[in-house]
Amino acid sequence: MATIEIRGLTKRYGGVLALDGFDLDIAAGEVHAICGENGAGKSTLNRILAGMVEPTSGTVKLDGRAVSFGSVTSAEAAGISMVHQESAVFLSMSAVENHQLMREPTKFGGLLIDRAEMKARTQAALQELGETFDLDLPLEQRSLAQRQMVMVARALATDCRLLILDEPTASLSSRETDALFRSVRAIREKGVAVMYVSHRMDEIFALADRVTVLRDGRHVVTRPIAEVIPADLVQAMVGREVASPEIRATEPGPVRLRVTGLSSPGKFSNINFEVRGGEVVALAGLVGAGRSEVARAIFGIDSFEYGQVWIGGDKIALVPEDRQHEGLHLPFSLRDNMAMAPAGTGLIPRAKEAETSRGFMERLAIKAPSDEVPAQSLSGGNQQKVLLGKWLATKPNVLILDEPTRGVDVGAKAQIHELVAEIAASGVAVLVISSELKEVLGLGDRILVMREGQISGELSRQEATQEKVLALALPSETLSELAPPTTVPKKSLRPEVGVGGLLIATLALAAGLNPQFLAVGNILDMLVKVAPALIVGCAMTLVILAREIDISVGSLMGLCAACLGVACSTDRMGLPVPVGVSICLGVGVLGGLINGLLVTFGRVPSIIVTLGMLTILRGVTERTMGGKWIEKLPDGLRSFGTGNWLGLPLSVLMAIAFALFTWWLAKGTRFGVQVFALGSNPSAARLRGVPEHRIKLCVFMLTGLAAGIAALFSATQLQVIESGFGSGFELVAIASVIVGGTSIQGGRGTVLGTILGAITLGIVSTVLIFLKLGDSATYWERAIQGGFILVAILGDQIWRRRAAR
Amino acid sequence: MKNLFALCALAIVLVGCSGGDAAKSESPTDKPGSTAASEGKQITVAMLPKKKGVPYFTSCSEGAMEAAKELGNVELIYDGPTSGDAADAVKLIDQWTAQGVDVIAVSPNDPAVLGPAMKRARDAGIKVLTWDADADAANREFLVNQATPEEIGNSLVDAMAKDLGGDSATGEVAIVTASLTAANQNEWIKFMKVRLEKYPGLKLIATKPSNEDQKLAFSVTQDLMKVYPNLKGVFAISSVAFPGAAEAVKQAGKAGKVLVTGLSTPNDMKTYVKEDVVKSVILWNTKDLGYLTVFAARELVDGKLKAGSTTLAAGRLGEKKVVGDNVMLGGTITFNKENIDQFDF
Amino acid sequence: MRTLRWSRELTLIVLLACLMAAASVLEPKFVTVRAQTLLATHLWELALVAIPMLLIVITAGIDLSVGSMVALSAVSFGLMFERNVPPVVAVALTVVIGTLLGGLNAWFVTKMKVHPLLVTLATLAAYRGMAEGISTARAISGYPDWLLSALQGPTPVVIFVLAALGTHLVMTRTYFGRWVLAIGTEENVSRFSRIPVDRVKLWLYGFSGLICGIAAILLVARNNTAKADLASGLELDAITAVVLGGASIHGGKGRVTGLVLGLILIHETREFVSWHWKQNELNLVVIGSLLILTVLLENIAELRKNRKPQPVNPASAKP
Repeated sequence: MATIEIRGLTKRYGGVLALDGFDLDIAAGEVHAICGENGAGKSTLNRILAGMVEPTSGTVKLDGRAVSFGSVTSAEAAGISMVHQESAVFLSMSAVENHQLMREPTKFGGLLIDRAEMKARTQAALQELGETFDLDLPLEQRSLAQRQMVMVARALATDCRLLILDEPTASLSSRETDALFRSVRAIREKGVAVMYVSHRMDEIFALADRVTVLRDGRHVVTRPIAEVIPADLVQAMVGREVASPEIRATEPGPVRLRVTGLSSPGKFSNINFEVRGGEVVALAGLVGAGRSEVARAIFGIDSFEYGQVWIGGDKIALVPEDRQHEGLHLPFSLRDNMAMAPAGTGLIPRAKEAETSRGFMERLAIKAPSDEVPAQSLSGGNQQKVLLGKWLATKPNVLILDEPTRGVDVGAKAQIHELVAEIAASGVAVLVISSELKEVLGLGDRILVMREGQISGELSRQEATQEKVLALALPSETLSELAPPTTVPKKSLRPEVGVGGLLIATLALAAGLNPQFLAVGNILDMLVKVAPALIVGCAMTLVILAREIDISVGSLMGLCAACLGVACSTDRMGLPVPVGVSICLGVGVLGGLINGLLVTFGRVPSIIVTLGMLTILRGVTERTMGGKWIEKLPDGLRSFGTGNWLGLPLSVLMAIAFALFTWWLAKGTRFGVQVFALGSNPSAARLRGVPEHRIKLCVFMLTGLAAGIAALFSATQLQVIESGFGSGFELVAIASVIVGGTSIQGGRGTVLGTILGAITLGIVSTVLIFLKLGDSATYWERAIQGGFILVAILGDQIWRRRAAR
Repeated sequence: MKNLFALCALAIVLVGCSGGDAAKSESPTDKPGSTAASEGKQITVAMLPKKKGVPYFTSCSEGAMEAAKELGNVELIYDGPTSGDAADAVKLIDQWTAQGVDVIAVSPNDPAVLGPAMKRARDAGIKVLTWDADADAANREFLVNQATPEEIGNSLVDAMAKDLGGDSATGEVAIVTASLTAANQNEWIKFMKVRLEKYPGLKLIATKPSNEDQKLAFSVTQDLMKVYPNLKGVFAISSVAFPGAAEAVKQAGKAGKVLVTGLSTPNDMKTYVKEDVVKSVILWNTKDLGYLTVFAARELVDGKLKAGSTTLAAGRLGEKKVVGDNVMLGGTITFNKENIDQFDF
Repeated sequence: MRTLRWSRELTLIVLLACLMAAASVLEPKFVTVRAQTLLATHLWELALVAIPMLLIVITAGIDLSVGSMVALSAVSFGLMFERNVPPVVAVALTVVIGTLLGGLNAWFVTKMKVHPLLVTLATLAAYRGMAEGISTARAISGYPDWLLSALQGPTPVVIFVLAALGTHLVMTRTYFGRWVLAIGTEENVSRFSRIPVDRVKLWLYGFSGLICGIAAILLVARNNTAKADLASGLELDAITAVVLGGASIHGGKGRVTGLVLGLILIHETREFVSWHWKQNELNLVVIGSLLILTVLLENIAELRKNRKPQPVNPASAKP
């Protein structure tokens, strides 16, 4: 009985058929491996099943019911979940939040998300995979493998009928891979169908029940695993037979690269080796053993503490592992990419570059319409060749290749191996980092093995075997916990520490010089003064957390105040107070809604939208006021600004209430977690089905509402509303947020930090008056205030760096 | 290729622009020079306030409109920077110069910055007046003078001294100004400091900016009262700062103990005067100022107002004195509890 | 011959042409060389400052402190002048001061690794405050006529044209220009490509300071005054021009040609609106709307283009 039936599935991108009439059945309780070269259509198949793209035609039935393809969430609801190849994780969020996003349990009738329950669930899920680590630290402080395990745990945790694993072991160590395999087998027993996509033959043969090969978007063959051998599969994938790499030994030349005593605490220590011209040295080891870190230090991207690197001829090239974030400028053309590793200064020799790039296209057999197409339009294998060409163009004496064939299909892999041999033969010293044992054994004239940041051994080509390399790579006691040296779990500093310290210092200084400063009356006055900045700042925190910005709040406050005044003033329309208040708040929300709509549906960047709105609203305010200020506010309205309750000013109470409200939104609701997720990694958030538009509309409307509230409580404090009300307020609000430690790049920050930031910045002018600095100092007030912000930011930065060490 | 096309298209636009040059013959430089010939003709008067959208200047503009309507042959343009930025004022003057209006009446928010533009306007044959505040005499023909900075400074200090007990008044006083860079107010402060020497009992303890922000004026005044318990008076010399400072005194419950005075239209301050927070508000009749400015502009074009004139017929205001190159409106008014209800502007 | 693709430059030219056509019907006097020359005098400081802003925005950075750098440089110039420093020396020193101010921004951005938005938000306040402090907020006037006239008229135009042309060539023809674009596209890849990322940024923020120094001198000459409140709000105008000119605020995209057209469009729109309607506040609404609508309309056009079903050639579908 087939759990999943795929019939005639077709996906067309423009003129290209990515998937062409694909049929497949996967039974319940079966692990079904899918293999094929890059570009064969595996990713398209995954993406369709996971609900990320809609097929052009074809049907998918799960347990006999047709599946509709709408979104990731609907796919998950139907019982299909997927672990993505590029870990779609939220680095600034904890393992628990990553694991539980979009399915957070709640308590008190949905009022609060149940963080204890979330943690318990995550803990249980990870324990099943044999993982235990501090779940409350942000994932950026965990290793790649641990991040991946969280994602696997997430996919396993759903009540799924079909689990799609797309290259799940790419960044896992063998111990973690074993744990994953155990889990996969366990869920197979539960009757779940597993679709396992991988390049790695050993994994396919270890795990799968049946295997299907795809080529050019079409189904080639489906066979039980017992009936095939690896060579059959490779042949089916490429459609021809592939010769395994055979590298002739070359006569090594003079030493080109010498590394002595290289150490970088926490990453690697006492690394010594040499590479000669014409020699290929392979650097083997588990992920996280510190190999890439050594390569980066040799190349000069990272600094190191001790040791020396000597490079003969001083021309070194590093082909990094991550093409997207380290290797290539993907939107740039092939030609520009191949000319990017700088060859000089001054004018660009265009003709020469064109010649070079065409030369490399030919030499490296890069498949592309021309060298002017953007690199992102190529397949992974061809991108890798472009990356190789980029560095060969610099004519290096030393070439370091970090995982040169990761995510590259079988055909391209063989070509790259041939190239490496060819390059070495031309007298270049080559250092290859690879996690694939076959590659290490096939390419290396000598093999260095790293373990936990140190070189654990060296093997010559003749003596090297898979077993010997593994023995050196695995931790000395195979059962001991493998702690990757790259991750030093450390309690990170709370973002509020910097601003909190500054606030205390300021208060201490002022109180020391004039005890009157801490009088209750003065404290209340100062709180009244910072109340609007606090209200708007708290809302702004959510906007900035969601990786947006709103610089129109000041103008919006002006408009809200103007509308309030025009509606209520006995000189103007003289409407009842409740009507005026509704108009004021309504205008705020409406302004926020317009911002939000333009940002979400209009897809205009928020800084542009709100920059435009900043001036538009100011103009509208002038018109609304009609050249006169607003006088004669009714007493009922004035009480918003001047009234007290239990001895506390209403505006302060409102600020406290609003701050609590935003704090609850940010920390206590699903909405808040989703805001963090959107700011932390927008594309991953979309993938998880976070309702991006709705959330952004909400945060902008919330900011609009905050502007309305701030205007209501602040404008009514005085008897006259002037036309410039609120101008420049956006800077106060934004400064409060960032001084409070919230990252302008979204995803990290706290409401508490903003509260402290708003108070700190708000009391500076009062402090300056209390210091009685005299007239000449008056001229320096603004400079002192600016310097204050600078000190806050700088102090925070220095503190953070110290903590990171 | 694309960029080349863009530049070509731009060139076409610009050429098209110079193609419209035929209209040049209308430009004011070629206008018949004789001023007498234009008597009674329709003229355009452009009136520039320091800052548009504030009640003070809006009420001036109402007076100006009244005059334009009364005369019937004056088209009035009233426009100014809503930001109060001198650079924006310069742009407007240049624009009116290019349009070829007949008279530009300027209330300079920064005489030094506006000077060159006013000179350009005069060079293009446009009559330039100043009103409300003066600029370099070389850059204008007449000033419609309601009060000199010296008079304003003196009135403010005198009013404060009088309210605090006359010549022997004692106590600490502070100034809250619009912004540290506000040219006119720095001028007033200069004269205030001179005048304060006349009252040895009054001690100026601080001059604080409020950055054109009512709320800041409010909190600065609050803080000043706390830090200087003997504070007796606050000069809030910008119309933005004045209500803010008065409100701070009122909310601190110090009405009558700390006096606030300053320049403002009576309507904005009526409540505070009645509540004894403010005893005196200094100003002049703003509507009349605007009204007189338009009449001066008309007479200037008609050639009736020229060097050596001693009087000017200004509609409902009757004959106004001309002293040198100043058209005199006639002094400041001190509004207090007794008379403030008689004014509505 | 490549086919002409729709670009921001074309959008701007169409808008500009419409504006000028409308203007020549509604206000013939507006469309004269004389009027345009007179109105153009106010454009140059903004235009100059917008050039380094463009480059910084292309690297996905931002410089909010330009207005304050202009003010502080201007006040320094005035003070030096007041103390009888020879004018030529004062001019040179002012440019140096501007460059140093930009250099300080660069130091924070490159060495302390603080986000440029934060750095320049802080220096926006700090530099303006220092300008107030050292000048005690006075206006410093009284420069000799020869100096004023030497720095007005064609001088700013020549400086701008040279700066714009030079920048255009640097951006299209040199390694430096390629590096600027590369950094904005993906900074990490640029580091891995051995591009001197920090040095490029140091140059750009320094260049911004340098241009602000020059703009400050021109501004002082035009106003005959150095004062701490000069050029306030300049940063927003410059960013508006840069974005209207087609640069992406996220970096990696932007051209000098677009910027120049954006500047002209903003300038002409602003002048025309206030010329025709004589309502200063209307300007605020029009410029803001222009900015949002330009980006919005292009987005909509792009969306529609992408929605259009692509012609399918069955023969090419199976390679």
